[in-house]
Amino acid sequence: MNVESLKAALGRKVVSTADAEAIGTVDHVVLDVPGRRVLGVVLGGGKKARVVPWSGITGFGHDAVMVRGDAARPAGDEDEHRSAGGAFDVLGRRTLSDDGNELGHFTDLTFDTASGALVELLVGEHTLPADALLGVGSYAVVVAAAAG
Amino acid sequence: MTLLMKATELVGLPVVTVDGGEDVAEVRDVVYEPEAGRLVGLTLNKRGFFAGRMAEMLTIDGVHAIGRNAVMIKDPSVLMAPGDAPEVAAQGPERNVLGNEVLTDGGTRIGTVRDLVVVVGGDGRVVGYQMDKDGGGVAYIPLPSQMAVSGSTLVVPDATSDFVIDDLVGLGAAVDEFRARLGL
Repeated sequence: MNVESLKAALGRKVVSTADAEAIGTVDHVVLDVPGRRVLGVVLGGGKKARVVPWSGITGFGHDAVMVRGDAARPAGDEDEHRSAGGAFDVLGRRTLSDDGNELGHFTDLTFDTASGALVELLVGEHTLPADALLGVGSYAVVVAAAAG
Repeated sequence: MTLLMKATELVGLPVVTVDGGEDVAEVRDVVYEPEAGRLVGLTLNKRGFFAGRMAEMLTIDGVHAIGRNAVMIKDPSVLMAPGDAPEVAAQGPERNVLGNEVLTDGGTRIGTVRDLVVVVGGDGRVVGYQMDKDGGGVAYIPLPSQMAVSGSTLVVPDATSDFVIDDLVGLGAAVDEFRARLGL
């Protein structure tokens, strides 16, 4: 399994395999919180954002994210629109355990570059398994207390 | 670990959804049922720019957890509309024991109630009172599960005098010992 850090992946260039042109950078990710997966990457932000769903990524490499030529499209469903607006920008966000205690700031998360499945969450000095992730909102990221 | 918090420390805490990570309200006040020694629920204020009283309340059954930094709820559907809230919640200030004098059942006054001490992370159980001692200073007294209470006075067992604690940390252990002594 090839594991990548979200912090490291943000800002990485996104290149089309059709014409080798850089079409943007990884500016946000779309998260499936209950499924603990990265569903896609967002290029740009706001109304002009384009989304590459995970199925359109041919290689999530250390130097570039390679995508199929026609893979980038406007945001579709609600989660993609929210993502383009920064709803899933978890890095630096306040993190609460579900028993109501603050654990610190969300520092990073790691995911499997093949499937997009989340692997670990880094919160302050804590490392939590991916399934501890319960909710991501404007106020806080919520994680399971037992895992902390 | 049992974490004890004073009820007034709950005021102002954000009410956050576990599933959504959103702060849907904040604690305005604590509704307490003195005879049962438990919190009934919390009244709420709106968050942010449109601050002000919220009509809905949060009963203790709707609370997922109370922590040092937030009151957690599963999702906003647990907030209860005014018509559905338990009757005790509407009675408000009469339920307030803060400022009541504390009398032992032998007739000795030991102080006045300053605050409630709540077990955090549990079912809203109130385990003690913070009290201003008549001789000056602050102390904590453990609470039996039932006691007589009126609008102005709280009657505690004589044995309470032996369990007056100076710090909140010591109260947790004292509560168990005290209840054992009373045979509760």
